[in-house]
Amino acid sequence: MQIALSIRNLSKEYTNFGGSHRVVSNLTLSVPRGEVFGFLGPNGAGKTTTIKMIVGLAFPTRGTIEIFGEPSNTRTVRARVGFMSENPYFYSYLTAQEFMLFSASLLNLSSIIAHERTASLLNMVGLSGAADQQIRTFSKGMNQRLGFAQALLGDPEIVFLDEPLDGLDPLGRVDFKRMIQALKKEGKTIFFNSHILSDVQELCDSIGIIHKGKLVESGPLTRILKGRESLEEHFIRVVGAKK
Amino acid sequence: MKAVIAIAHNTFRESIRDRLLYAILFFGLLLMLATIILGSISLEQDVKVIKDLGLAGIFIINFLIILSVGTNLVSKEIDRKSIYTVLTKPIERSTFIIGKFFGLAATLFVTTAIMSTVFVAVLLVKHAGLSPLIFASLVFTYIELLFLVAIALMFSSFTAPVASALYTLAFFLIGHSMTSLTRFGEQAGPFVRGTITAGTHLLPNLEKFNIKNQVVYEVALSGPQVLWTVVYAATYITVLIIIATNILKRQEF
Repeated sequence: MQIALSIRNLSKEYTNFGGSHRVVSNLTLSVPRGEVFGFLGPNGAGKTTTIKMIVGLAFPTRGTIEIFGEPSNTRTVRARVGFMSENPYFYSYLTAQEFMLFSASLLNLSSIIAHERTASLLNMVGLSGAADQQIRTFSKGMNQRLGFAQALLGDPEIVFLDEPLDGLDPLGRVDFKRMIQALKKEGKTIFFNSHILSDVQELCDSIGIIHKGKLVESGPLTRILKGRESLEEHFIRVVGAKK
Repeated sequence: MKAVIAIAHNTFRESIRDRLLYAILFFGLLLMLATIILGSISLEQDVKVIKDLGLAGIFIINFLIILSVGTNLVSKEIDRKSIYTVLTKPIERSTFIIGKFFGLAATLFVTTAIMSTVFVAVLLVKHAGLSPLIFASLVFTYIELLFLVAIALMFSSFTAPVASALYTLAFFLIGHSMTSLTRFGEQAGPFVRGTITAGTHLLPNLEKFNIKNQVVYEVALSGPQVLWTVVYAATYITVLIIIATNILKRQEF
C-alpha cells in the first residue's frame, strides 16, 4: 500500500506580542493512495491550518509533510497536487474559461490540453453554460464549482479540498459527492475538511478527528464506527469528551 | 517564463476591465483637451503651457492609476484569497511578483500611449512642432512610472492598500525633493547632514526622470544622461522587486 500523504510531528505556532499560540500540535497521520480521507474537527481545531501547511500557504513550525515520499513544498510535488480553498474567490473580471486557461498556464499545460481540459471540467462541474460569464456574476455555489474544476486542471494525483460542501444547496452537495466518488474511481487520493458529517460518512474510507490542534482519532471509518453508531454520534462523543 | 507571462496578462486584463481605470483615463483625456483652453488664456505662452501641462497631466493620471491599482496589486489578492489559487500551483513566489509588475507596466504603457496620442494631436493642432525631446520626455515619464509601480508593488506585498498608497506617495514626494533636501543638509549640523546624505543615496532620486524643463526650453539631452537614467531605473526596479519577492516568500496565508 503506497502512502500518498505522510505527516509527522507537525506543529504550528503563531507568535505575537501576547505570546505564542499553538494551532496544530504534534500531528502525525498518513493517507494511503487512492483513499478518500475526511479531516474533521470543530471550528478552530486546526483543519484549515493543516491543509494550508500541506499545500504551502503556511509554514510548519516543526515536523515534516511528504506527498508520495517527497517534501510537499517542492514544485514537482505541487504539480501533482490539486487544491480548492474554503469559500474560493477568483479574479472577478475574468470569465470562467479565461480563469481556467490562466490556471492552466500556471501548470505549464500546452494550449491544446488546456482548452480540452477546461471544456471537459467546466462541463463536469456544470458550468459549461457559464464559461463566458464573468466570475463576478457567479453565485457562491458556482464559485465552489469553479474552484473544484481548477483544482483538477493539472490532473492531480491527490486533491485537497477545504470545506468543499460548505454553503452548497442539496443538489450541489449531491453533485459534489458524485464528482468526489468519480475521482476515487479514477484512483485519485482525496483529502477534505468538512462539517457535514453525514456526507463524510458517505464518502470517506478513513477519517482523522482533530481537536484543539491535536489528532484525537484516525483510521478507517469501518474500524472507528464498528457499525454501532453514526459518524455524527461518534464525533460528538469523542470531541465532547475532550472538551 | 510562461507563468510570468500568464500572471502579467491576467493582471493587465483585470486592470483594463476595471471601470475605475476608465474613469481616471477619461479625466486624463479631458485634462489633455483642457490644455488647449488653458494655453489660449496665457499670454503668448500657449505652446509652453500645453507642453508643460500636457506632460505633467500624463504623469499625474498614470500616477493615480498606480495609487489606485498598483497599491492593491498583492494585498487585494491576499484579502480576497485569490492568491491561494496561484501560489499553490508549481510556480515560485518571485514569478508572481514579476508577473504583477509587468502586468501593471503593460496597463500603464497602454494608458500612457493613449494620453500621449491625444497630447501629440493637441500639439499638432496648435502647430507647436514635435521635437524628439517631447518623445524622450514621454519615455522618461514611463520609466518613472515603472519605478513607482515597483515601489507600490513592494509596499503592497506587506501593507494594506491605503498604507501602501501613502508610502508610495511619500516616496514620490521625497524622490522629487532630493535637490531641496541636499541644500537643506548642507546648511544643517553634522548629524542631520550625515542623515540626509545617507538618505539621498539610499532613496530614489525621481528628479532624474524629470526633463520637462529641457522639453519646454528645448535643451538637448546627452547620451550619458539617457543611459545613466535607464541604468539607474533598471537597477532600482530590480532591487525593489527582489525585496518584494523576499517579503512574499516569508508571508503565510
